[in-house]
Parts: sequence; structure tokens; C-alpha cells
Amino acid sequence: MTLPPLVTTVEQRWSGVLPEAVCSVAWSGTGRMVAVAADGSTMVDDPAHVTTATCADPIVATWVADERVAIADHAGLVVFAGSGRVATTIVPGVRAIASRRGVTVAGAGTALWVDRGNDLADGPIIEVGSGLIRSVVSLSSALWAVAAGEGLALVDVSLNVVDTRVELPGIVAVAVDADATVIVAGDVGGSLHLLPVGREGEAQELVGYPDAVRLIGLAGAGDHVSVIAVADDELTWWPLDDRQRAPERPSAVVAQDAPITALACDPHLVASGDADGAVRVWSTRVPDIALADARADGEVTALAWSPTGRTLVAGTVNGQVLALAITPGSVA
Amino acid sequence: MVEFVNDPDISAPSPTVPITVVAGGAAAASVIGAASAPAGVSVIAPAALLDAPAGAGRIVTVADVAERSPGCPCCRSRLDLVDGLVRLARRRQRPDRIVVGLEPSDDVVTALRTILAEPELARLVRLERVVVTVDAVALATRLASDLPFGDQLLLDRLAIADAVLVARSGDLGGASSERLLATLRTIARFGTVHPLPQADRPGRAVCGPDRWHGSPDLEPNLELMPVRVDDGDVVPDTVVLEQAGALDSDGTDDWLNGIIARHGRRLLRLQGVLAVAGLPWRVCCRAVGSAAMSHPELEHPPGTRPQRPGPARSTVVITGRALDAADLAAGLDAARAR
Repeated sequence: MTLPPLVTTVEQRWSGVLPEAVCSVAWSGTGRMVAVAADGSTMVDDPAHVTTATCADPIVATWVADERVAIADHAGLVVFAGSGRVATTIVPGVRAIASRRGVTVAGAGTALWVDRGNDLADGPIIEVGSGLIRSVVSLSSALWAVAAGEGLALVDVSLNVVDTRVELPGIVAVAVDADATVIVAGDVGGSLHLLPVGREGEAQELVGYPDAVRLIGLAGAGDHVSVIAVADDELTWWPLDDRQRAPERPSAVVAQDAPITALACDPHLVASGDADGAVRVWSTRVPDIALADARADGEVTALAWSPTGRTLVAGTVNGQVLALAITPGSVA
Repeated sequence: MVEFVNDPDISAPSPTVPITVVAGGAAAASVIGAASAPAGVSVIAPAALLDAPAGAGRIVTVADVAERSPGCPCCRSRLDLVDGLVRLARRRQRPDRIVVGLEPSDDVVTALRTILAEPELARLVRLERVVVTVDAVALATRLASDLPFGDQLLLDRLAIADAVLVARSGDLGGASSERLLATLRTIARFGTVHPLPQADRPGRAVCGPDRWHGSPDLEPNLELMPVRVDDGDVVPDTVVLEQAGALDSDGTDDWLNGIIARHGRRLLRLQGVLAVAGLPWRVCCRAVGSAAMSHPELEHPPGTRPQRPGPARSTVVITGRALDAADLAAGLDAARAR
């Protein structure tokens, strides 16, 4: 396997500005980028393409196809835009939306809505039965992990069935590794729950956080996967063994100068953004020191890696959208 | 063990957004509407309390409660408020004020604990005032009929309030009005009680000075009224503790941690200033449920900061259900520096 690079450089590719704070950045599988501002305006691909507001109170955006973006809005709707066409579907209580290889899943209230290419027109498809849905992530285009108030559910959206339910009250965040072998969920009490996919009964609890961990990710691939979790101004690293087990204590706890406000994981690298506008790139191989950094114009509110891992986009509270070219190096 | 943690550095010129919580049913929507009319004021509230559709600076919320420790009511958190307040405050131009609306069925302790204690909110917002609205006619009728005055949620939010706005008070006769106001003052020891004629604007009651720092001013020599409640409900007590002379630092920490550990489930609000030996400025302490924090008086938000160190005298006001006043007083006395 390819080990994560060590000597890495970061250069600004371009910078643009949206009218309001950036609340979400998303990449399509083919490398198209959308950044959404808190006023509903968007930047598509680069600063030359900024749209007017398409919704009033956006939560998160996702690419549903190479020419089409879906934006979930707190008002209880999902806006589909692209190819010169804008459509809105009322989705009461929508809180999360994500796409994977042409399948788009929205979590609204206690149910999942699944897009079959008709802008979610079929309504709620699957009652998950785990309380209010807070987050969805895909393990494959068919299998999705759903974080909800009463626990975690694995839902097969191709069969419209809940495959597995794990009772974990107070889940606030969830992430999955690139190979979909392990899920990590953070709860409101400050514990992380590590669930090997297919062996959820072997769940492991990681403790030591005083408060809820809302920024978590899994970086690396194969037998070189780490859980990365943020607690205020600290990044903590938990390397997993080949059974997806974590050690009793994190391998590194790295304090920053300001609270960490955004986190994005890639199969090779990790990016963090903080309240002072620092963007840092990390490797699972040397977790105690950043490989490279860049400076944005204010608190970092969104981060996302391109599918190739060669571009990192950061959004800020001032509306800046900053594209950074990442050049992976080698062992020095 | 609950840790009595330090507040974040609120003395820095941080643009934290002041929050006013408006809790109640009667007239709450109109109070929120009037309070949020000025440009720069944002609102987060259930749909029933918003008189205009959601949009920029107006967020509709649905209570999403999670427990940090399963089964522990004093450790609950309102995840919807965390999410909504972050969205309102994380803007290029932060609002001048955020008004948080709560329905009568909402637990005000959980909401305030969330605002005070959630780390994500600490650097973005600060709690300034809690305003509770009540309906004079409904409550006066209950008093006249010798019915329970209200449920535990009403009793709790009155006990925690900085201001109680009484709607339809003009519809009452003199004796009924006096009895109602006296009952409200008995429960709402932290707060002031104001009639709210329909045409009135909430003004300073909603947007007035910060009431969540320093030693609260309680009305002295108040004649407390008997309050009838349902079996199982409890009228909150308010205990005022005063101690001359400096306190021992470790002893004070132990006393405060002990209060949270022993009374956390019954503690509605704790607030005061402590003169601690060796510290040039008194320490401001405050707590709601199990969330407790402290900081030097010097670090109060601008406008409420004292000009000089206070006297070597401590004052702490504690409101809660079935508090043991003698035990609380003995604990503070034991913390004296010797």
C-alpha cells in the first residue's frame, strides 16, 4: 500500500469571496467544487462563478450528479440546482444530506429520504426508528450509517431496510474510513464509539473528552487507519490495529493556539482549520506536527478535500473561499 | 466529580453576542417580536413563538435534547440550540443580540445550561438576561380558586428569571393583582416583576443590563406568600449566603464542587461573588444545574466590570428545590481562611 506522504507543500491556488460566512464545501466525484454561504449564495468551481441565493438558511450541500447540487435548508427544504434548472422539494425537518455514486440520502426528522433521480419526490422512504437524525454518511451507495438521537443505524437504501441498530444515546457526529471498514461516532457526553463494520458487537468506547466531540474523522487506508478527534484546541490521534481496535490512550494529543473549528480527512492526509484562520495539513504517520500550513482571513468554517487529495478548499466566517494546492512529498 | 471550571477569557475584547432568553407562553410571541424588531437582533425560537417566517436572522427550532450522562436531568443539553446559535453567531456581521424563545413545555434549566456550558458557544455568545412571561388572568384565577399555581416547569422558570412580564395585568382588580404580584415575587427572587400592557414594549426588561454576573440584588425583607402546588412539585427556595472576611481558595473550590455534586439535580441558579484570600479581585461564580463556572470580577463583560476590587465580603444566592440552607451556610463558613 502507499504510505501517507510526509514532506508536503501547500500553495494557494486561488481565493474568492462569498457575501456571507461559508457554511459548507463539497466536491463531486469528478472534481467539481461548490461552496455555500450562510445567505444561500454559492461559488461553483472557482471565484468566477458565484450565484445569487438559492435558499435562505442552508445547512449542507452535496453533488447529486456532475452538473447538479442539492442544498439542505433549515426551513425544511432541499434545493436542487444545476444545468440551468432550480427545483425545491419540501423535506420537513431535514438536517443532513449526502450523496454517493448517484444515490442521495437526506435525513429528516426520524426518516430517510432517498433520491431516485427525481429530486426526493418520493417522500420519506425509510423510518429509521432511532430518534431524530443528526448525520448521515455512506459506506457504499447502498449502505448508509445514520446518527440519530437514540443511536446509530446502518440502513440499506437499495432494499429500504434498517440493517443494524446500535443503541448509543446522544450521538452528535459520525465518520467512516475510506474502505468502509470502521465507523466512529461521537456522543454528547464526550465518548467516541468505534464500530467495526459487520462486527458492531465488538464496539469499543474511547473516553477522556470532557465535552461532546463534534469534529471527528478517519484518515488513512488499509491497515494504516487513525481516528482523529477534536476537543476544543486539541487534535487527538488514535491509530487502529488490523482488527480496527484503538489503544487505550491516543498516540498523540496536539494542542493548537486557537479552537479547532473544521476538520477534513482524506485517505492520506488530514486538514484542520481554527478560529484564527490557520489551516494545517497533517499526516497519520507523524501526527504530532503539522506538515504544512496556510492562513485564511478568519475563522475556518468549512474544509473539504478534492477526490484526488491534491486540492483542499477552506471556507471562512468572512466568506473567503480558499483553494490550496497540496503537493505530497516523500520521506525527507 | 464535577469540576468548577473557569469561564473563558471574557475580559478580552471578544465580540461575543449577548443573549436574552424569553421563556413562557402568554405574550411571549409579541415580546419576542418587539424585542427582535430592531435591525441587528436575531431570533431562534419554536415556530409558535415567531410572528414572521424564518429567514435571515430568524431560525425556527425544534427541541432536540440529549443527556451527557444517561438518566441525569441536570446534564441535559439542547443540541438544536447549539446548532442554531452557532449558525446565528458565525456570520460575517455578528448580530447585536440574539433572542432565544422557549415554549412553556421547554425546560429552561436545560436551555440555560446549554448556553452557559457548551464549549462551542462560549466564545461566540454570552447569556445576559432571562425574561419570563405569564398570563395574569390565568394565574390569578388559579390563586382565587385555590388551585396549584403552576407546574414544576413554570415554578422553575420563574425562580430563575431576571424579569417577569405579566400580560393582561390590567384586567385584574386591585386585590387580585396584589396577590398575584406578591406570589410571583415570592418565587422569582432573582427577578423583577413588571406588568405588560399589550401596547407596552418590553424595552429594558429584554435588552437591559447583564444580570448574569456579580452579586444579584434581591429585594430585602420580602414577605413570602404561601404557594400551593401539586403533590410532587416543589416551590423553589432561595438561599442568600453572606460571609465576611476572605475565604480559603481550596476550601471554596471544595464547597462549590460539593454544592454541584450534592445539589446539582435540584440547583436552578447559583450566582455571587467570593472574596478569596490572596486574590486581588473577588471571584464571580455562577451555575445552572450541573454547569458551573467562575472568573475574576475584573473579567466581567465591559459595562458590568467593577472599577476597584470589592470588599472582603462574599455573597452567594442559590435558588433550587428543597435546598438545605443550614448545610449551605455551614459549608461557606467552613471555607473561611484561617
